[in-house]
Amino acid sequence: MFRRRSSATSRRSRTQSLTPMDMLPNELLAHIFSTIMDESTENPLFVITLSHVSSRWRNVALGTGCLWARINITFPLSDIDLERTKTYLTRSGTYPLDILVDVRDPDWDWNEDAHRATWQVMVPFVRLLVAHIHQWRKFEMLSDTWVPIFTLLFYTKTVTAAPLLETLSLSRCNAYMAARGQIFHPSVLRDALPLLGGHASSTRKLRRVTLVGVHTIWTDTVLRNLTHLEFKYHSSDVMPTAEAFGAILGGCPHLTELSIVGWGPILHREVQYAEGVFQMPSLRTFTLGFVDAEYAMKLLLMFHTPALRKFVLEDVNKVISPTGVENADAFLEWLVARCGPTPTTLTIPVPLRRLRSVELHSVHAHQATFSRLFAQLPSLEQLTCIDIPNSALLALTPVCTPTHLLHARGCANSSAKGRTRRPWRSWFKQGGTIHPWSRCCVLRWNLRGIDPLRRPLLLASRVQK
Amino acid sequence: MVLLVTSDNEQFNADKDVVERSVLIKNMLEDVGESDQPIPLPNVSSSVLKKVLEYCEHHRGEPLPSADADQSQDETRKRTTDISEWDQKFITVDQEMLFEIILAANYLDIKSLLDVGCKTVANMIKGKTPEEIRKLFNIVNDFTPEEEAQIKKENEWAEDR
Repeated sequence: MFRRRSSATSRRSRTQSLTPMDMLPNELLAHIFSTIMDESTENPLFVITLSHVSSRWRNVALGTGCLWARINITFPLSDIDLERTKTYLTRSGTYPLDILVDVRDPDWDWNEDAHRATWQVMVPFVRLLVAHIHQWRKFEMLSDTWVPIFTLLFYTKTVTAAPLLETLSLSRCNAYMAARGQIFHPSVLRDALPLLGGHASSTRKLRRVTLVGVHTIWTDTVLRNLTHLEFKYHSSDVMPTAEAFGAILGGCPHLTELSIVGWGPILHREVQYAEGVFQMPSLRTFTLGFVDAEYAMKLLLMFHTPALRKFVLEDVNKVISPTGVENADAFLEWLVARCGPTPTTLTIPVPLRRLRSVELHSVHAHQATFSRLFAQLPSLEQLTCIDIPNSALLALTPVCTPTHLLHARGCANSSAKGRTRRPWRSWFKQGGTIHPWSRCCVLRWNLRGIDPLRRPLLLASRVQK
Repeated sequence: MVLLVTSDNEQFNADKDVVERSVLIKNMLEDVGESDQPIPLPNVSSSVLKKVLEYCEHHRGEPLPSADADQSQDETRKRTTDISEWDQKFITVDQEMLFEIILAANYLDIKSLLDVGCKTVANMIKGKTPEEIRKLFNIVNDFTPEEEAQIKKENEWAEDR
């Protein structure tokens, strides 16, 4: 354990009595500081406050590298931010760094030419951070436009080692890039760059990767040995070929979570791809967000996920265009037929009957379709539904009481009452009052303890606004 | 039963499985073997040991943290300042006693109690300005003019953030 301080506070007058805080050895004071700063919700700037209390506190704070190892750089970037970042990097010593670069404009500016996070603004920051890439443990960049991501990819394209890096998340937060027929822009910067040098040998500890609207040279080997992988909101023209995608998945035999939102590999309409070629023996959670249901079916057929326990299905068209939700009847009916009780082949893209958890986001279909889907989920323990139409509610048998509700959020405003709320109002009406959950947008149900034969009849849903 | 003697010469009898939550005492008992000899605790007063034994009694039988707990905790970065309800009530004491408990937990090597104490102090500090922290702990602002100048500059970093 920590040693008692060898001498009294350095500058406190000998005539002054010691306070309880003075009794603590510096090591314990540093431990308390670490306790504060280790909380992920704590603002990394609070360490500055700690270093401004007294000379002793400042010495302890400045001498404790881990306190400075979480670096947040946020929009708008300025010289002061650069100076602060330099200081943090110096004071962090050799500690592994958790870095967040968030250059999203709060005003949602997606204009590539006018956005204030320009190449010129980004370069000093990126160069500074890349100089410490050997310390990166977690790196996350969020941007509205491509230029900040491009700057990072450009300055890291020849790195030879990021030995501590465990998590990499690069997000160009523009869902519209995944719209049907949308191609990548700015076209002048479309050419793919290697991700962190492109070689798995440079990122031996990398396990979690999120690429949102970010493409790279997909045939590189950097995306290997991952446990979590997210592909989201890419333009359909910059995704990998089926072969390159298969090599990525094949190089991650311990992948437990996979998200494909928007587009996965480029699949040609006229080509018949082999079923079950993407063998995913460890995959437990699979999120599929589709823009094109036909594409999604074709893609799903290529998967074999025997260990899958959680399946998240999302109609992404709602994100791209609020009025763009597709009817998913054909998709869900296909899913039931292909993955239900009598699969036609040995490979099962989604083992419905073994799923413990299902999430549905903005999936719109008819009541009968939902009934048939839920009839194929006998092992279901948790169901989360977001933005599901009222037609689905009518498929419900109210054997599930509010006590099974695990989670509810996003309550609609009270003025939004109307016919669409009736199923909830009758369901939750208790003692003449409407239960507050009847206005919830997101509902998550725990189905444990409910007769398995009745589980398929359950459905919770967001009430439409 | 184990006999403990505090810095103010008070004697406490406690069950072995209670006092063995202290790694220091556990090691001493293992080194000495079966003995009726009292264990002196020159760095712990009777009022503090009473509190420490209350904590150990309440948490009797709970698994002790493993030697590599610090390492794994650091790796997962899941440390929080949450404190259980009982521990919160237990640690609701005046500042002097709080710091004495921390020192005793540190000396006796009772990691869980040290964590409760440090989290409590951490929670007292969080969200406060330097001046509020000074006032809370009766700390003197003793910066040199050079340090003051640097601090003034650093204050700009946090503005509008």
